Amino acid sequence: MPTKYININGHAVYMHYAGQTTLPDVIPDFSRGRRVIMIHGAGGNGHTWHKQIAHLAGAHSPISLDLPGHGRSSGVDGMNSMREYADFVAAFLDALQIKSAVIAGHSMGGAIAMQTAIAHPSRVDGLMLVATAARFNIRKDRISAMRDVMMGRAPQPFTTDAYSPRTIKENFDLVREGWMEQIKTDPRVRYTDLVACDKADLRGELDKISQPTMILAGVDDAITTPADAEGVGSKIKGAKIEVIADGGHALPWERPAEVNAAFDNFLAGLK
Amino acid sequence: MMNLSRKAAVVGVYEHPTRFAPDKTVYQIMAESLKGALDDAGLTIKDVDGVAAAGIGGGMGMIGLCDYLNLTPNFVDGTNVGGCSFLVHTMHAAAAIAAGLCEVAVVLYGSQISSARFAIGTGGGGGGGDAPEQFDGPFGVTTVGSYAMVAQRHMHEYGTTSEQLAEVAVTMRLHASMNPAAKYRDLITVEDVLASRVISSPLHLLDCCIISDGGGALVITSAERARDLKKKPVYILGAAETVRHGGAGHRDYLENAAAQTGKLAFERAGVKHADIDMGMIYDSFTITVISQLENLGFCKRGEGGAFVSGGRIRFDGAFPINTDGGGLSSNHPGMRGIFLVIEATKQLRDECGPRQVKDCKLAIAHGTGGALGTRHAGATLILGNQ
Repeated sequence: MPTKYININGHAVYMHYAGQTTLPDVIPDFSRGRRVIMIHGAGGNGHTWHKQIAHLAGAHSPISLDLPGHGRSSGVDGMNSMREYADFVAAFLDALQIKSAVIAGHSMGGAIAMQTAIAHPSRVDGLMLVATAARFNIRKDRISAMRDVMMGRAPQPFTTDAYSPRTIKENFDLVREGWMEQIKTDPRVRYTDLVACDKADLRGELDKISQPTMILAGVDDAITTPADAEGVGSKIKGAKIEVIADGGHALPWERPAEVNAAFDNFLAGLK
Repeated sequence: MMNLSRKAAVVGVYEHPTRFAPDKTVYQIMAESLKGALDDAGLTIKDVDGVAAAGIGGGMGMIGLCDYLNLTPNFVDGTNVGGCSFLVHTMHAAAAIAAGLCEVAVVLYGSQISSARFAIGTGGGGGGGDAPEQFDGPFGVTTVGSYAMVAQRHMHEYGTTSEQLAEVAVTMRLHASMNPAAKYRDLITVEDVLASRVISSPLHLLDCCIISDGGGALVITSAERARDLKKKPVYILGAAETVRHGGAGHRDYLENAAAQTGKLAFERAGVKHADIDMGMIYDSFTITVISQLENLGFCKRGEGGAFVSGGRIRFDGAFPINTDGGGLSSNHPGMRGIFLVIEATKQLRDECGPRQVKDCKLAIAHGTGGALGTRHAGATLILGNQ
């Protein structure tokens, strides 16, 4: 899967895409099917979507990115709000000369996707929201635990709470893989992401979203629950919700077949 | 013997603002830094006839670097003695200029140690695989381990406390909060340092320098030519370098290279400790600052803990140190020496904004390479704007 740096406001942004590689500063060909911009969650990176990029590559032009301060993008700071991240997504589209795209978002990325649709409606053709919420219910001890990591008081905790009991029982390597991706981002950025998520509240603005929207939730997700998905879906006109069996919070890499099938259906149904 | 004092001056400096640049190469970071420093000096690459650098991979890195920059210099120095290499280069460049070997020398550094996920302090011995390492490497000592033994000995001999070590880290963070390019800018307290986990007893995580990408460049020319350039010259008044080691088994954890280079540099500069307005003192760890200050003669052995306490080393204190935030908070791409010269130069030019030291006329920069407590190099520069 090709990756490439693109310069946005002095930051080198790392992106993962499908198709032919190109020379530096030459934008790859994104003319196949739909352009799909995929946004990772708090403290994550664009690798979150590698199974979706591989799947969508034949018919569409999927692109995921490492948000500023995350993964292999340059800089050491994340952003402070969903609005800042949404404006960054719009700048990312500008840099790739993409007028509008379907925006997929996982967890915090889902909130960024919704915020992008609210703040930059003409840039968004549709929303594919995965394991997300309009108002995150983040346990306070989770935020303080990450602050302790940032301040050097504790080592990075190994947690399994983003996965379904079945995954933990049958495919623990996946849990390890997810952890290895998370620790590629500086604890300080992971902490500021959690704080930004904790402050975010899109509940009062969801009715401004008029783009076609699909929402996926994991039945075993304790971080963003099916009830959170219902909270989003009930306020976006025409939004379709699908609850995935044996799915936790890590849906894109935990239940890729179900996520890919849902994306296929949604993209095929767009006018 | 020829005296180098005031024969050469630092006329251009540039600190690369990046702290994480996985998109660039080390050579790119060096080239961008060189451009920045030449612009600062009002010179172009056509003026450059001397090149010094360290940390560019293989043993013949200087050849590849000159090719990359399209330079055919008359003076080349690839000395690598760890973190203080760039202070050594500055001294060598001044000597070369004074001897007529070249006219405009540049000192370059670039590193991607953070994007390469390289564990500087804990990833093995500090000797870089040198022959003597066979005698201590197998027993597992790391770079941070060597420094920790210095700290442990200092505490044992003189009653130095973790709180006193923490004062250094807290002050560096205060300075970093006034440096927009610094990697960590959120203020910390002595309690925060003590509450951070122990990496190698008694050093806590926040007693250790950060790991970042980065780079920088210096432009050095003759005092005569310096007078006609864009910025006020910063003269090299005194310089010294040496290497210290186990002394065939007679190891003193509390004496280091600074005792030798500090004495020589002050003699060569013809100035006294009381004349110095600020210091750039290599801060790989908090103990590094305390131990080097003692060895440089700014206080007696055992008094370093008190010397750094009570806000004395703040930018507005009695003896300001590492006003850029140091390796503990601003940047540490593995070999930090070049930033000591860059910040000292900016202070002497009154360019440091909110962290500017008042009436700064004389500065000292001292760096260590390798690890205190075992084999290491040291170099001292005394710089002045008069």
